[in-house]
Amino acid sequence: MTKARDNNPEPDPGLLSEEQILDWIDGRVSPQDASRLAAMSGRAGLEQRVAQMRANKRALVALGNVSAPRDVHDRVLAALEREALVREGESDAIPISTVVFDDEPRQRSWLHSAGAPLALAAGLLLLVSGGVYWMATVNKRPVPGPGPIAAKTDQGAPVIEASEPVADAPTMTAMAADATPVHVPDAGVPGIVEDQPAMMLAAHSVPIDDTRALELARQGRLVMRVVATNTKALVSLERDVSRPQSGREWKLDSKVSATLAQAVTPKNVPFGLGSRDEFAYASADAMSMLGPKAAFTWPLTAMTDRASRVKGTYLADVPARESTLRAVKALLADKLDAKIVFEELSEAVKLPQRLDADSALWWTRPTAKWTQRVSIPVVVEQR
Amino acid sequence: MQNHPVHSQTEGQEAADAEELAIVDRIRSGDSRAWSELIVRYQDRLYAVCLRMVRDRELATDLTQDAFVKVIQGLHSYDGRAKLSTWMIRVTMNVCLSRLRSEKLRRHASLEAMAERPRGGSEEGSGGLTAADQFSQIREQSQDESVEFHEDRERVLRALSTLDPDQRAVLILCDCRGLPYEQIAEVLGVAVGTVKSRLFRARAALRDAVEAMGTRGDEEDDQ
Repeated sequence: MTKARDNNPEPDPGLLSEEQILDWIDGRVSPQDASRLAAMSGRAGLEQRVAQMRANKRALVALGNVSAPRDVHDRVLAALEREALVREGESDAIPISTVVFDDEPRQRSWLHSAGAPLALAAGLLLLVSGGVYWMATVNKRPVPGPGPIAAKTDQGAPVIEASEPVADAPTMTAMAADATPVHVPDAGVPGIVEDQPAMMLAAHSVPIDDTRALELARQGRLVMRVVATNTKALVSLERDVSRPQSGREWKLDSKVSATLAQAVTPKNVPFGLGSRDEFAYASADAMSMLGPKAAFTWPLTAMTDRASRVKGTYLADVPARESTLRAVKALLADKLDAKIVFEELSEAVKLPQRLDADSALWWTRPTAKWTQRVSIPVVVEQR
Repeated sequence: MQNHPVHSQTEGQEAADAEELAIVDRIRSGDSRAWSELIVRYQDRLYAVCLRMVRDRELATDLTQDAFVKVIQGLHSYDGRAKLSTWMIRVTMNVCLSRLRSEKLRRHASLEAMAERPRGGSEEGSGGLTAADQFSQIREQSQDESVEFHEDRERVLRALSTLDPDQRAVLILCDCRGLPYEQIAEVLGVAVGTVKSRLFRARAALRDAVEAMGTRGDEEDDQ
């Protein structure tokens, strides 16, 4: 079966996605497309490797069916019988009609014993106290806070692997880094923030360590927030990091799709405010923007508009190693005089893959040298 | 006319599914004769999964037995959302993966113990072969195939047993059992994207392992 593919040959040699190669191995790409794909790969031997993988697949498919040994049936039945007898009376024991449970005498003795009324009374008491407790606690549930970035740790959320197909949204150059830096008197020493200040996060209070950060990055649910004092240094930093001669294993790309930039831009909520009431009036309670209270509300909102403070959105392409992640944070903190925190996105965002031959053909290197890479959106905000 | 076979195939599948659900209901209601029917229906499929995972007939039989016990014990929790076959393969795969992981841990621990033991002090040495060691010793019976193909197949099987159990699982489900990505995702309890990503890594790793075996074989021949 031939799958429809983009017929325009791409000049970039690294456009082979894992899915395309899988299709190729599975024979879902026409021979013409296969040669084109091989030519696009820009690497000799790719076609041969794929041919070997196809041969291995054929060998596995050809193994065919096997018949279970004749005694499997009897052995399983014997094991089931044994299990039923051993676990007789347990709640999850196998229901078995051939085994007769002699429960009657036990039930009779319990019913006629003097403890029965006491046990019933105790059960009733437990029920009543449980009900009272439930009534007392049900109205104390916390109200979820606003903000696009949720502290959701639900593992069942849809997950998109960083290595999945590229999002084909139009690219956008990151916002200019020409804003005049605002010097905050109590900016403190530049460094990596381990304890996240409330102003950094919309609804996240648990610090994310590097291990967790990598896990979230693999799922496409991590954002690195860089609150910088010296955003003028962004241009030189970008140039420096992207230079091939820099020798760094990671790269910072300013070509971020509009969809991605929008997904990671912080919502316009005031930060640095303590109580929930103050927190809510700028984002949720529109009425508080009118009337006498507005004299206080409007200037405060403008002052605390996080979206307007964003100086650039980037995509960091990093080997999935904690040491490299630490190096990235350290460099950003140092060059931009910034504080850095990780945020967890409530849902995975589609992240583009790196489009160079090296990253696309990682699997052609020996297995021991495989290094998984992750893409992390980096949002630089003016302090 | 052309639709007729498809239609009857669907009908046949539906009838088979209904029959299986009837067996499940009978087991739940305590009819132990239904066990036998379920075992007969699935023993080859589950045994095949186990055998490909461990490459040892005796161990595969044990694992099949364990899987059936777990399936019948857990039938009360089967909610019918997945196909019964998918659910049963999931249980079986979990049994195999747990076994392989514990075997790996045990082997790791025994290697550490050997390293700590003074030289010449070991008398048990090769006595306790692990299941993983036994896998490579036992070969599957050959059918009427060419010698070359048989050798290739053997090499691929040996290479398969050197892979990480999770990679092995995805290859077996995809190539040996022919399951679609969606069903593999259900069996392994991961997203379809993860299945594709894992499958790709598994294919690349298997290719490397097969090649390494070929190279090693050539070196041995030269000597």
